[in-house]
Amino acid sequence: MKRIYLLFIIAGLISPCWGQTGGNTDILTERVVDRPLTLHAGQLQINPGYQLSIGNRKFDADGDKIDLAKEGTAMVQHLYNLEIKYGILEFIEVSAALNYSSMGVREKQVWYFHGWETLYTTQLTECKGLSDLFVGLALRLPFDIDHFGWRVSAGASLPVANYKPEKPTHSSITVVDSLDVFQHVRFHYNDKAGNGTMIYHFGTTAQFFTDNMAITGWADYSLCFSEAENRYWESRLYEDEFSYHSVPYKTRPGNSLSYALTFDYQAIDWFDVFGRFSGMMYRGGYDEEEGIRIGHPEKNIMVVGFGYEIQVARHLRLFQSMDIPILGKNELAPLVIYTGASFNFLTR
Amino acid sequence: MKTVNKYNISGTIKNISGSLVLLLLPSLVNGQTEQQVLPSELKEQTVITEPATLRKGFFRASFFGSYTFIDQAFDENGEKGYILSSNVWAKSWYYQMALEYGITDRLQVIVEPEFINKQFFYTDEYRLGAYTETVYAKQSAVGFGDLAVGIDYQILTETGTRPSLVAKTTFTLPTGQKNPTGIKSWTDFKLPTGAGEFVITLDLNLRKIIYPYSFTLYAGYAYFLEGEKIFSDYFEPGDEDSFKQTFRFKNGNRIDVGGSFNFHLNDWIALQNQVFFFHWQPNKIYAEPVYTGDNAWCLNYQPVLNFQIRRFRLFEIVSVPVLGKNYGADPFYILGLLYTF
Repeated sequence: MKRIYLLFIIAGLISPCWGQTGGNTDILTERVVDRPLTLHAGQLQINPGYQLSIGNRKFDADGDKIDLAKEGTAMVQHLYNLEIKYGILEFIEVSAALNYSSMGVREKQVWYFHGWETLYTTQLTECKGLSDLFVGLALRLPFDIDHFGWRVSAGASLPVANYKPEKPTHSSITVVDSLDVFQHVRFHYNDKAGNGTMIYHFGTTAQFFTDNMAITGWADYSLCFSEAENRYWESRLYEDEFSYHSVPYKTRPGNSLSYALTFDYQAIDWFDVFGRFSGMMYRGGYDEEEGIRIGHPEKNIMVVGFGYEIQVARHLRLFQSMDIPILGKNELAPLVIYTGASFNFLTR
Repeated sequence: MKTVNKYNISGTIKNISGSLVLLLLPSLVNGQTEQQVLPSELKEQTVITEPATLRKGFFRASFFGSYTFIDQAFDENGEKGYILSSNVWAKSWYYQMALEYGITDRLQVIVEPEFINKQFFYTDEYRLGAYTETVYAKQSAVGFGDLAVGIDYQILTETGTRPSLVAKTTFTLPTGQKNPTGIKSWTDFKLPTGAGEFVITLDLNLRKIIYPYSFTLYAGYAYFLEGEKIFSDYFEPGDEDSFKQTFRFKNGNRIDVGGSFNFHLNDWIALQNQVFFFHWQPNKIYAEPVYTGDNAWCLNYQPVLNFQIRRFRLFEIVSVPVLGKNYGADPFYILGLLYTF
C-alpha cells in the first residue's frame, strides 16, 4: 500500500509539470539547434512573413555608398511572403514559396524654364505584383552524424507571374499657384515582379552543432538558360495627352550565387538568437534589342544581420531579423526588417 | 481477536484517509498558491490581465521609439498612392517616455516627455537652356517636443459581468520649440520640434477580460486651442521679414474611436489587434488670405506584440493606415520597453 501511496504522491506532484515539459519534447517544439536540416516525415510547415526594406543607400560601380535621399530616389519596399514546406520522408522535404511585393521609386523633381513658361517633371517607377512561384526539393543525410548535418536542395522559379510592364500612366496637369502657373508632367511607370523565364536553383547546407550552438553554412546557385520576351514603353506628350507605344526586347536574367553563414545560440529552450553574414553575387544577364546585346552590370552585396526566434506555442514560432548591408557594387543597400511566423503541424 | 478486528478496521480507515489526504495534497498546494498573489507578481501581469489603471503605489516607466517615413498618402478621394507632387523623403524618429504612478487603485497620473529627431530631404534640378543646377535640401528637427500630462480614473472596476471603464484626461503643453530656428534662407533652417498649441484630450476606455482574451472599446475627443507661431510655408525668397512673421492658427479638433481584440499566445506573450478611426477637422492659419485645410480621416489597424518578462514588458507595434483621406499612408513602427516598480 505504501508503494501505491508513493506512486500517487509522485504522480500528483509531477503532473502539473507534464504540461510544460511534455510540450517541449515533441518534434514540433524542437529547439533550433536540435532541428534536422529538413522537416520530419509528415510535418507541415506554413511560414507567412512581412519584410520591410528601406532603401536610402546604394553601392555604385566602385563600391562607394550613395545617399539616395540626396539623389532624390529613396524608396521603400513592402514584401509579403508565404512559404509552405512538407516532410515527405524523414530526410526529404518539398517546398513552395510565393511573394507579393510593392515598391515605388520616386525621382528628383526637374524644373525647365523656357521663356515665360515653366514646366516641372516628377517620375515614379512602381513595381508591384506577385513573384514567380518557387518549388523546391531538399534532401538530407538519411543517417545521423554526431554534431553535423548536411543537405542538398534543388528548385525552380516557375514563370507564372506577370512580368511585362503595363502601359505607363503618365499625366500632365496645370498647377495654379498664387503667383504663377506651372505645367507638371508626371511620369508613372508600372513594372511587374516576375522574371518571365524559368530560373533553376541548386543549393547546399552544412551545419555543425553543439548542445546550445549551431553554425550553418548555406549557398544557393541560381541560373537561367532561356530568354524572355519583354517590352518597355515609349511615350509622347501632345497637347496634354500622352500616347504610348511598346518596344519589344529580349532579356535573360544572369546567374547568381547567394550565401549565408549563420551562428545560432539557443539561449533558452524556447528562445534562439542568431547572427549571420550573407551575400549575393550576380553576373551574366543581358538585354537584347534589334540584335544589339547589352550586358547587365555585375552586382554583389554583403550583409550582416541578427535576429531571434521564439517558440510561442506548440504550433507557433515567431521570428524577426534585421539585415544591414556593409559592402557591395552596383546594388541597392536597403535596411531590411523581417517579421515572420511559422505554423507547424503533424499530418501523420 | 477483537483487538485484531479493531486494528484491522482502524487500519483500513487510516489507509483510506491517508491515501485521500495524499491524493489531495498536490491539489491543496495548488489551491494555496493560486490565492497567494504577491505584490511582485501583480507587477508581472500582462497587458491582458493587469487592471485598467495602476494599483496604489505602483510606478511604471516606459520608453519607446517610433519610426516612420514619407512615401505614400491617401488623397482627397481616398485613393492610396505614392506622393507624386514631390520626391520629399523623410525619416522620423520619436522617442517617448511615459511615467505612470498609481495614487489609488483607481487613480493614476502620467507624464509623457518626448524627444524628436526627424529629417526631411528633397532634391530639385533646375534647367534653363544649357544651364543645370541641382538643389538638395535637408531640414531637420532635433530636440524635446511637447510635454503631455494626464490623469486616468477608473470609473468602473471590472467584475465578473461588468467591464472596467476608465476616463483619461490629457493636457499637452507646448514646451517644445514652436518656431523654425537658425533661419539662413527660405529653404535653410531648422524645423520646430513642438506644435505651439495647448491640447486637451478626453478618452473613455471600456475593457472586459475573458481570460485568455480581452476586448476594449474606446472613444476620444481632442480639443486644440489657438496658438501663434512662424510658418515656414510663408517664407519668401530673400525676404527676411517673412522669416519672422507670426500667424495665429488653430488646428482642427480630433475625434477618435476604436477597439481591440487581445489574446494570449502563451502565458507571457500577448497579441493585441487594435483598430482606430481618427477624424480631424480642418486646420486654419489666420494669414491673408485665411488658409483653411481639408478634413482628414484615417482607419488604422495596429497589431501589438507584447512580451512580458517578469516586470519588464517589451512591445512592438506596427500601425498600418488601411483607409483614409488627406492623410499619410505609411506604416509607423514602434518598439518599446516598460518596467513596473
